[in-house]
Amino acid sequence: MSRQGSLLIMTLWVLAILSVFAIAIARYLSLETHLTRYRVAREQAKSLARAGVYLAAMQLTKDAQDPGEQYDWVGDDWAATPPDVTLPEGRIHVLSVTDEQRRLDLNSARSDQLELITGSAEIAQAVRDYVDPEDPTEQRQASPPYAPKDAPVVAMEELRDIPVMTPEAFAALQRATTVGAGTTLNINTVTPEALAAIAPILHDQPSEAIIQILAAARQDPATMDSCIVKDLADMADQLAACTMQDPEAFVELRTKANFSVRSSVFRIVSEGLVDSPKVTYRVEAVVQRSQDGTEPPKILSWRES
Amino acid sequence: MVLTRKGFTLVELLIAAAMISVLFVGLGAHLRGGITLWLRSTQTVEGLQRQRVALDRLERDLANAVVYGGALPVLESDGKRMVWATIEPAGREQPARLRIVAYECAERGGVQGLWRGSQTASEALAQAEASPVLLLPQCEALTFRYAYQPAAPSEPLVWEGSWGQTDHLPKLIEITLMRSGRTVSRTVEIPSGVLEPLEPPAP
Repeated sequence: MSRQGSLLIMTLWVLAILSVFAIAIARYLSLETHLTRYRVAREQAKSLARAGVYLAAMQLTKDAQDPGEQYDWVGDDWAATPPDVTLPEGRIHVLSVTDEQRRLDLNSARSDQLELITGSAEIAQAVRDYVDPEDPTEQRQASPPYAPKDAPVVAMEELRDIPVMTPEAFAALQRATTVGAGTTLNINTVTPEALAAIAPILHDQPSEAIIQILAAARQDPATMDSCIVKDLADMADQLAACTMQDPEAFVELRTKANFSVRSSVFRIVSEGLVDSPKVTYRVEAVVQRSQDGTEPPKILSWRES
Repeated sequence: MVLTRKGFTLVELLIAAAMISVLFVGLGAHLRGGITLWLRSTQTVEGLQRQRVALDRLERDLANAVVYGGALPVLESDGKRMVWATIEPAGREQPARLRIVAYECAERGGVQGLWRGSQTASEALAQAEASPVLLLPQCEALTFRYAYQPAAPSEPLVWEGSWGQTDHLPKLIEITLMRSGRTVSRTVEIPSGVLEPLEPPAP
């Protein structure tokens, strides 16, 4: 009797030891499978995000091919982000397509314009020193080492290295200025911040009120259409009618910058989303399209995260 | 008292012990092989994982590469080391920044491996020490090849051992690592590497 009992206990012991082994191996393997699955999802999300950029770039080229519409505005076909594309692997989601001609060119912006944007003469001067050729008054620093680049900025992120730069001033610069898109401003898309910087005073009046009225008229579907300048020659009259202001103010505005009614450089933000496991991959690209849409768009800058 | 055979004799116990030990020695020999194999495979998998993470990092730095211009290189490599300008994406606590990154196979502090240095443009121009981070142990050589598109779009990409262009990036970069006598390579697409020079189209 007792011998049979000891056999049962021994069997239970062996079973217990084997189960511990089995659980340990299963846990290890499930961790590996999880990691691999995450990695596959990440690659899929990356490909989807990249595809989103190409999708939006294709839409941009298609818009340029339309001979009847030789102007670009905020409600244009390209600005409507393409609908999400759902694939078995995940989803392509284009967050935004915006033109870069809505912002001032940072490299050619004057220091008084930069001061209006950042609200600080010191920062404005530091940015100019960073871009302009070397001069003896420039601020240099030994520790941590800092010396102005004395060459055009190629990426806005560079400005963060300027010692006096603040996060607020940098955010303001990002809203109103850009790099690599040329010096023309599209009058149909230009941001209120950029307009306020190039023309703080119009026709002997502070321009703030006019800029606000223009921005509001462009938001309102009823007046939106009348505010689109289709031909630069009509700019002053059309904007005066749209804002119900003196045309002289807009005649003066036209002399303040190199305006245009077309845009050629665009910023596309696209996301690739995979649901299980949950992975989001984001790509931000700046592309240049050819004016007639016959050549494929060129990618000027690319950020992945 | 009647003697019943309920217990074991000493001889029986000894024989049983001998049989069990022979059984365990045999089992142990087999198990040891299995355990060694298991350990080795775990180590290999971990090594591969680490290599993949390091190459992913390199790939992201290359995908976000920018042509900085001025006194800093677009892409500079001398067979063991590679330097270029890139945008480090925003992390949890720090915003996106322009960094000059340097990858090299070198021995530092007695550790031979793939090291990644990252510094601001000003630090790079001042030739300050970058305090590199070890990405991967064991790395004897790091080589690169660059692909560009010849003038005629119909022609296939051309591969070259060095990149002399200063105004744009190549289309593809092939990275080859030599680790403990074995080569590992990965080809990275550079999305902003243009096929033609960046000039506005003729009107």
